[in-house]
Amino acid sequence: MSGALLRHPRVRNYARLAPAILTITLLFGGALAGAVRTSVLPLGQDATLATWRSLLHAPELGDAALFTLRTALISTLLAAAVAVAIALAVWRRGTWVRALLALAVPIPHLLVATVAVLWLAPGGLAERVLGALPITLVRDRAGLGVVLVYVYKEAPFLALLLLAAMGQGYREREEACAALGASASQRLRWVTWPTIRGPLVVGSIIVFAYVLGAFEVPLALGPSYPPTLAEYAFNATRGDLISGQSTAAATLLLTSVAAMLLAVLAVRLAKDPQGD
Amino acid sequence: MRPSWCLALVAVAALMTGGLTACGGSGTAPRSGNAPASADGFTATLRAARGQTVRWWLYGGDEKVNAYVDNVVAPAARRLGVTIKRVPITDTADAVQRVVAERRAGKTSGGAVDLIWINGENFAAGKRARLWLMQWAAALPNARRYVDASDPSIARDFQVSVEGQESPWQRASFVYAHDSVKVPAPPRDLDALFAYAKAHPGRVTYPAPPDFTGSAFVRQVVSVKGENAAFAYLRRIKPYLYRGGVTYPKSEAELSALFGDGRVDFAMSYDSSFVGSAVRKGQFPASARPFLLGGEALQNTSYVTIPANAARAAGAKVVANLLLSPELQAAKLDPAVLGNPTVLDRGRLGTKRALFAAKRNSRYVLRDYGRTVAELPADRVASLEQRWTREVLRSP
Repeated sequence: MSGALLRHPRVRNYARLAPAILTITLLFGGALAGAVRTSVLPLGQDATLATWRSLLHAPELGDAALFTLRTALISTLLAAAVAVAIALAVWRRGTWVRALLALAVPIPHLLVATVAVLWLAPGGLAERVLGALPITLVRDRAGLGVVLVYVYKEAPFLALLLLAAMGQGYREREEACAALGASASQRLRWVTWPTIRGPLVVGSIIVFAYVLGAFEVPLALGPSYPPTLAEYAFNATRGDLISGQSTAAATLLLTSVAAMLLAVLAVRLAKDPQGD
Repeated sequence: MRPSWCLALVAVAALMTGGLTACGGSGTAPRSGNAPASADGFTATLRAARGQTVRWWLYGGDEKVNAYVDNVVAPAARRLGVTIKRVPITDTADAVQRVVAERRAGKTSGGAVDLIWINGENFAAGKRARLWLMQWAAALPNARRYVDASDPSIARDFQVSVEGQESPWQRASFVYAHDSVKVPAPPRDLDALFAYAKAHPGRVTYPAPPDFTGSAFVRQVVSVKGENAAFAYLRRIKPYLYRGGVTYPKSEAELSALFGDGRVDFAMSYDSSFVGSAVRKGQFPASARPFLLGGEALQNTSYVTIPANAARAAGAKVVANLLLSPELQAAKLDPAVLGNPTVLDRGRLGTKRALFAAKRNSRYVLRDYGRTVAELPADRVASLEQRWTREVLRSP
């Protein structure tokens, strides 16, 4: 009977994934449980929901959540669009283009943010060279600088994922369709999109989750207000040294839940094999 | 598709929880009280400290303090067999957070923090949570000999009673900087500052609390005007600030950079000799000068404290005692070294008073800090910072 169960494809898939899932559940499930505990157990006090109550009533939390979601959404969509454009432009070229793209991936976000501050901040190098910049990118209320840094960092990453999918098989399908007289837009719809949709969605979810939880770029480039959720959590530990950690843990838990919910939603939306 | 979206979810969980691990692993641990150091026990402390490496967590952004610790304190400690390892931090709260995290993890001994340069809310919060070693500071030989424990500016830190949990080290006064060529007559008080900002929009700003310096500026306004009037003042001045008050510098360093670049007209610091240091670095023009608002200055004392779970408490006590030696305190008076007034009681110095006589003058350090504006109680600091975020920063 167990043999029959194991032959069931879905069960087999999960069985193969079990070592990875188990490790991650232990490692990160433990961290999540620790965060839950920290959020309800302020140092030296009994268990209480006071942290959650005051967090959910803080007007700054709403501002921070909105700002974070907006930044993450815009960054992800722009990065995905740029990545698709890059992939379509260079997929026929050799490995050197990929190597060039890969160069941008390991550069730390903080480094890019710092360079952006050096160049683009008021009084930065760009302003000294050009006299004045038409727009403010550093510490602007809309978070434009933050979005730009993420697009710069994540677009090459997504493009590499897409290029990995656009290999020999894709080339053959694409050429076959072209030979059969399919127009460029038809090939894009029936060949390219089904090929890249999977990696694009999965990659975008990773990017979105990263931007949602990331912290150093908004700290370096973001506005004084609103903060991102991660900055809000960080500030909470500064404002109240002892119970601030509970607030920070609660805030980061909310961020995690939001990221996971949005990931489920994104996967559901992108499930249709036709991609529409 | 199933396994791949499953993997995606797992990846999301991994990314999100990566940020959470720092908050995990909580645990409240009961700690035993610390036996008070016996009055004649210092020779034993000196003996125990021999060979220890004291990890001193202190704000690392002040090059003069770093140099003083490395060139003056460390050699003196080495003569006592104690090595000082300076742990530079951007904010003293980092050190407190570390001790809190160790406490949460149930680590009651062998902690990574031996000594912290601290005062104000950081000390008060730790004291409330019983993080610090108790009843040791007053028993240090140099404290008994040279420190006036009844002086309220020593016995109370931001109006919180010290109770032997921290040992005094420095005095600080809150001063402002202007460029004597561009602005020969800086504003005399807060109302003049408002008038100046209104006449020169975008040329005035201050760091956003909870930054230490920005928070001190807000406290000076609150001390002078009273809380509600102070917030009305800060809201009124906001549209005339740098970039219309939409964004504030995030730190004193950022404000100093703006001032050094000539983008704003005033800088400020709780380091009363910061103008001289910045001029030496080439950050401020040589014509920069310090000034006071309202002929008065916020003043505080800063201390060193030892966490109750410190691994090398004996070595830390030896360093704290050393910091109170007349020789090391006198070395700080020189504006080229630190330019800080001493925490020792001049009346108790005896023959050592000669060390303090040859104080050099500098045009970058004020000779007189005017009336003292007492620091607000530590527990008001956090609520003022929160009110500032809500009523000044958040309001459009």
